[in-house]
Amino acid sequence: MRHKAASAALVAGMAVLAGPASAHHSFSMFDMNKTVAVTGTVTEFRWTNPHAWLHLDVPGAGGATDAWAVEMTSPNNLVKTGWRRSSLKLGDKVKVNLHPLVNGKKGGSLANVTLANGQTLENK
Amino acid sequence: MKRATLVLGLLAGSSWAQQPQTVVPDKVWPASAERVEYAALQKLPDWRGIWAPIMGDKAAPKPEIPQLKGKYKAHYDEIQQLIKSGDPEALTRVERRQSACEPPGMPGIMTQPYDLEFLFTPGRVTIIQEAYMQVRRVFTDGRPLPADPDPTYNGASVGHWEGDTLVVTTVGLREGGTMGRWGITYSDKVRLTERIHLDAKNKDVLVVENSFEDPNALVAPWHSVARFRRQRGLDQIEFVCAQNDRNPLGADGKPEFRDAQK
Repeated sequence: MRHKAASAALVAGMAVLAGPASAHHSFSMFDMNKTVAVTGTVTEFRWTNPHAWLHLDVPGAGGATDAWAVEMTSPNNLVKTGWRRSSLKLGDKVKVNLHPLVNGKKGGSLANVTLANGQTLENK
Repeated sequence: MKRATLVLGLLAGSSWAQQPQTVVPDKVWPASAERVEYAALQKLPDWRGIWAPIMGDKAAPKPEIPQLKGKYKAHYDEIQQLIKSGDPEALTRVERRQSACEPPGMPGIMTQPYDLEFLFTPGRVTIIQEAYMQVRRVFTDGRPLPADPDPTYNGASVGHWEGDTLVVTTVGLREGGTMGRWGITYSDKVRLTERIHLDAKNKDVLVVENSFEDPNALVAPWHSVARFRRQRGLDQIEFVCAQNDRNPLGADGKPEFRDAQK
């Protein structure tokens, strides 16, 4: 709920950003209109403020491995939608939908993650 | 400074009347009164629980167009142009801060995407914002607003009750602070009046009506409304921004995404 996009409707005479209100930093570093799916292995899960973080190893081109960094909202919000600090463990195979960085680097803002058991956790 | 003046005066045995009036008189300051009246709290409205801002609130009025002037209008116009451009690079310049962990100040402390909690004690309402564990102190003991306050993020606030509505006046805010999103800023002469009350149709909705007056930034008062939904089954959770801040601001003023590899 807390990361639900603000109304995208333009109010007459005032231009507003279509994006979530953020306590910590602007979301303009992410392309919130684009969603990218990556599947990989959890290498780190940091249950911290101001953001929780998920790090993934994702198979890349030519047999290489790409390291992805995925930012979430905070534990304060995540616990209210079913997350726990133990929701992700090293070595877990997960499918992640994320809003990618505008600068093209391998990172983004989490939309949701699907665990190996099929459970999907939302970032909100 | 003020407390030191008071303490020194007492130690010297000087009569109170001879001391400069640097502190609020005892009779309206519960912290220094001989006794306080807790029973009066029973008459206040029930604001228990924590209050989550309602995102995408369809019941809230549309944002009012501010009638700004001078450099405040120029800044607003610049930000509006950046937003209208739709250019992703331009958008990264819209919501700048001094630090990613810097609190927003008033009125942003009230509308962060985290919960508020209200505590009533004699002569005071304390508002706790879960994000960064911020605190506002609204004195309802009858003291006047300070005449020449040092500017601070949340300013100096006094309030009084009009029935079940808490009316709060705030001054002493920092030059250039954010009055509203998308480029609406104020001067250090801004004066904010909040009317805070439960929704007449839903006691689990809290309404905050803001009215800003600013002789330097505004041609006419600017109004905004924020609404909150009560959550009775939750407590606030610790939030330390410095714990793992991976988004420090770079030399260009933009928040970094420190862990992106390439």
